[in-house]
Amino acid sequence: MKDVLFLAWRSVLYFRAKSIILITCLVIIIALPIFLNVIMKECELQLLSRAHNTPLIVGAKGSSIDLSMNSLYFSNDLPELIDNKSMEQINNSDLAESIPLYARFSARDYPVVGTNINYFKVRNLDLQYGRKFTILGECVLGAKVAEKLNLHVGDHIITSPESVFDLAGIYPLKMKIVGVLNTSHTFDDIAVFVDIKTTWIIQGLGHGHQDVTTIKDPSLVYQSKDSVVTATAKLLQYNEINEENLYSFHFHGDLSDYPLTSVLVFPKDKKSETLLRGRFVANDLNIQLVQPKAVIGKLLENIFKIRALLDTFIGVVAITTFLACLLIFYLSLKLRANELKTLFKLGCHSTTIKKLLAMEVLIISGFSIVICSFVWVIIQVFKEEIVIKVIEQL
Amino acid sequence: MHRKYFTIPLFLLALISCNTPKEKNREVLTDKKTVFVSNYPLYYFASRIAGDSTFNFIHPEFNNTASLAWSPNAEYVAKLQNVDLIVFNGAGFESWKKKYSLPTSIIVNTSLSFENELIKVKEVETHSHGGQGAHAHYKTASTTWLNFSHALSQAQAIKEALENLNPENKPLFEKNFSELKSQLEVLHKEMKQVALRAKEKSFIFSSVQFEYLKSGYSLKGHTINWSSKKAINDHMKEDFKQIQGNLKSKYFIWDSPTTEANLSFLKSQNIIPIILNTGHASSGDFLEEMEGNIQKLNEAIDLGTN
Repeated sequence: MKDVLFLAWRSVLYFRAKSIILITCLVIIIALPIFLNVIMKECELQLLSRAHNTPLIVGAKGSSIDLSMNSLYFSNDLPELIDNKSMEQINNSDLAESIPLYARFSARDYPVVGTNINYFKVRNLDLQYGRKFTILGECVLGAKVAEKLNLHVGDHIITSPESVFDLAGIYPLKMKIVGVLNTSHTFDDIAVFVDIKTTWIIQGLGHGHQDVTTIKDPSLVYQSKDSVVTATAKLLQYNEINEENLYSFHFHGDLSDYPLTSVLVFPKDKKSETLLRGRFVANDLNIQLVQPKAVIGKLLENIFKIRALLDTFIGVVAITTFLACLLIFYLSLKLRANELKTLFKLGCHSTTIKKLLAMEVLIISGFSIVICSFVWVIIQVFKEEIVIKVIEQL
Repeated sequence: MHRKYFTIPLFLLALISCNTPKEKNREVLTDKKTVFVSNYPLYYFASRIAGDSTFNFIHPEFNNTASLAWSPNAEYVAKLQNVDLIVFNGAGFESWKKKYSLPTSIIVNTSLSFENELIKVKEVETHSHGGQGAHAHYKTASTTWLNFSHALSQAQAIKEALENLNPENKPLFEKNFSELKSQLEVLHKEMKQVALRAKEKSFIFSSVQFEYLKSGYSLKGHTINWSSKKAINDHMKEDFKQIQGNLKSKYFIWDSPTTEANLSFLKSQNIIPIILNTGHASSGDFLEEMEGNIQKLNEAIDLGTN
């Protein structure tokens, strides 16, 4: 048997081009369905687990998919905005706990998610380092953000402008990192969390500046008439919030009118959920209440339709590739007819020749399986990142 | 030679184990629930309703009126993020809360039921900068409890919040609240009688802290915004004379003890100074201090009438 193995091994090495082609074909046939299966399962798991953990979402009337994708996975598609008032109404109803979300801005290509600290509780997010944000301008990083950008507690991260052409726009805000979350294997790993009020400051709805009533520099005052002080554009507005300038930051108008992308709603019980849904269906306000489970379920139905199509396609490709492999074997046997005849003339039994050929097939299949195992492990390691990229594109 | 056969499985195992979630940290919770109250009147109501040792109350230092200007630091807020209930006065009392991140689901705003009756006062001059138009900064007068009907609403809100937190003690809270309610109703009635006696009189109030006393009991007068710690200067005297020219008041109500020089000036103008407790912790409890206020007002009215 050792002799057969030796001869088969030498043959595989000698016909290395043929062996590599066969191994590649087999790896593709085996790995492609595995890859798709693992990714689809992970995709389903990610989409459904977050949807299941979020009973209701309140947002502006419009695309329920955009609303759910932005609220659950912080997608770039910004839904229509709603007032902070909507959240206060839910809180005052005493039927549910509500968590505001304002996922509109980004910092170094990662979404900046404005929320409150209850978000960490409902998503079961624990801190790896540091603490939760306590004052305006502080942020907590998802595990992957901290890892990829090599940022630690005490470092700073600067928000990105919404548009590069917005030259007269709002200054980017330099935010202090006060905590890093544990890996959760969800979209929370790739987000920067701040207090909802910090996102309003990023948007320019709140600001901090020198006290106009006490400034001595006349170049900062444009006009002071009838108790109205008009400052010039030279007036310093702060782009970083710290203990010294914290109290100069303020918001104008009623915070109830400030924007949110959505509100995550966690009803106290089934009855409260029904009552809340009834209230939102009954009124004709410009807001809608969606059940992410149903929305994502529909989205997955479409994905599964595509998957069925893909499975058929892969099946056809697999059969074709398998036939091509058989053809390669057949042609290779034809080409090696003289070599095999010589072996026979040298006294090699026909059974031994068959064993030799079978061993060659086994070696090639064995290599293919080993490579597929590596591919499987690599998919397992990177599946979350792949799925996050896939969901971002949805 | 054999080591080679172990290398690949070990490598695979290591790769998979890198992907395993870490064990989650768990917070250790004590049995006694912690309640934060932001000022002395709320603390008084909460502790009266809760009775003995039901909750662990935390609050800012109640040393005179400073609790109005109190604001926590980041570490204190981190502590607040872990309490079971946060009792706020509302009405702009906790102006610092806009600067900090707190768990909204455990916050009780005790002035929510009368938010339409809150009084706005101008804080800073109108100003304009950047792309924004002219805007002024306003604040809400915070000492809501000086109107005892508001104080009762606040106590009611606290009772409901404590009941939600500790439903098994509901009968005790109900009993304690009922006692407190009757005492506050007595104060309200007495204050109404003071207002009736002062119907034809007017007052000068040193600060906006008396806005709810003024509006709640229809007291006539003007708020001059003087600090009791600051000496009355010539400019202030001019202002005073101008106001007094129209008002012809006999009473000046201070929110805390003032200097002898300030008292002398008022006496020289035939004004009776009255120093009222605006709700900070003192030698007596909240009810005693408020009863003291009513007595001082009555005495001053007697003096002014004679």
